Amino acid sequence: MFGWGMPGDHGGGDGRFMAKEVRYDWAQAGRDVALLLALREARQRVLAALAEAAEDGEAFARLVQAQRDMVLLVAEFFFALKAMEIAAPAALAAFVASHNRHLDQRIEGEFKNKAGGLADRLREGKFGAGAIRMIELTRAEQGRIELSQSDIARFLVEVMSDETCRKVLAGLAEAGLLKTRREPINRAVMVWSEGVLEAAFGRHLADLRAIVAAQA
Amino acid sequence: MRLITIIVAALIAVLAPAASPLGDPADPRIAANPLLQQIARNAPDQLPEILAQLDELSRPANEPAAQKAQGAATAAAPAAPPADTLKPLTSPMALNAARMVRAQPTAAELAEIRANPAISAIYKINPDPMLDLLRRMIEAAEVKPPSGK
Repeated sequence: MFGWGMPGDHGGGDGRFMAKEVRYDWAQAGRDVALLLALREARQRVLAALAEAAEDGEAFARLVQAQRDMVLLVAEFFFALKAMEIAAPAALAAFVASHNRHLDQRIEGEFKNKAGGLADRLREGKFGAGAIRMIELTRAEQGRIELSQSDIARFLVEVMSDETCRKVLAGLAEAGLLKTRREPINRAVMVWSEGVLEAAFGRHLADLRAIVAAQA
Repeated sequence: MRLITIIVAALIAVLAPAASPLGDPADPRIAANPLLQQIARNAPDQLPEILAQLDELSRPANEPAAQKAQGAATAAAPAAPPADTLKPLTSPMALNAARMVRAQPTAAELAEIRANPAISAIYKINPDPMLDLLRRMIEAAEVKPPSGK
């Protein structure tokens, strides 16, 4: 199934850990190189599609040069939010609760009594009691789902640093692929999407499906 | 399979409390199995019960019991989650997304990965947080809105 031996098969009986063979059919290498190229090209295409859709293509190019992988991760996050309809109130509340539970488990487990780095970030990554209420108030007021830059950074706390998240969101906003506004009361930067980012990432996944189907 | 059978037989020999009629001494399994021979010598009254248990283990109709006895070997087989543990999804979009995520390793396959300390260490050192995030989103998408809304 995974291309190596059964669990517990750690090598010879002389006490040394022996590297196990990873089986691969090298006769298929040509096809797999073609697949590799197709996957890489698909990755290029999603970025090209976003550059074309961007209001400011140069700003997007600068962002990709600095944060290529992170741009795709943010696009993936926005796509998943839309595809799974997480913006629905019940789903959003469940997602926030699940996020907090997950962080609690890590904080009380592997990061118990630890400080600095990811341990601190995880503690700051939890949503407060009023988070859902704030999101719902904004939805009622603006007629759309908006998340603050800090909310998005909380959801992505294990994926990227707050600073990187802020830079990518700001870069996507500068390129016109996300919209932002400053909340007058608490000065929070509110972020929403008009759908281009999600659609481009969806097209990317459809591309990948087609590539895999063609290879089968 | 033979090793597992022997282990099960040994466990039953230790734990079986009730005495039963003697088994057939001509049973070929006794001749072929040193452990059964030992049981036949030291606790002959328990032999029929052990042989009956072995019969059950080898019978396809009793597959769940056999799998339970096989322990780790069972964990290696891919298994679909029981239908009654799956909550209904809220929309076809979420359903499709769920299908995509569930195409990933099953719980049994993950158990196999974790059973290997070297592999599980890699997952611990270098987990894929985006994969975890997507799985939590799938779970959240399955939550139904409260009735009346």
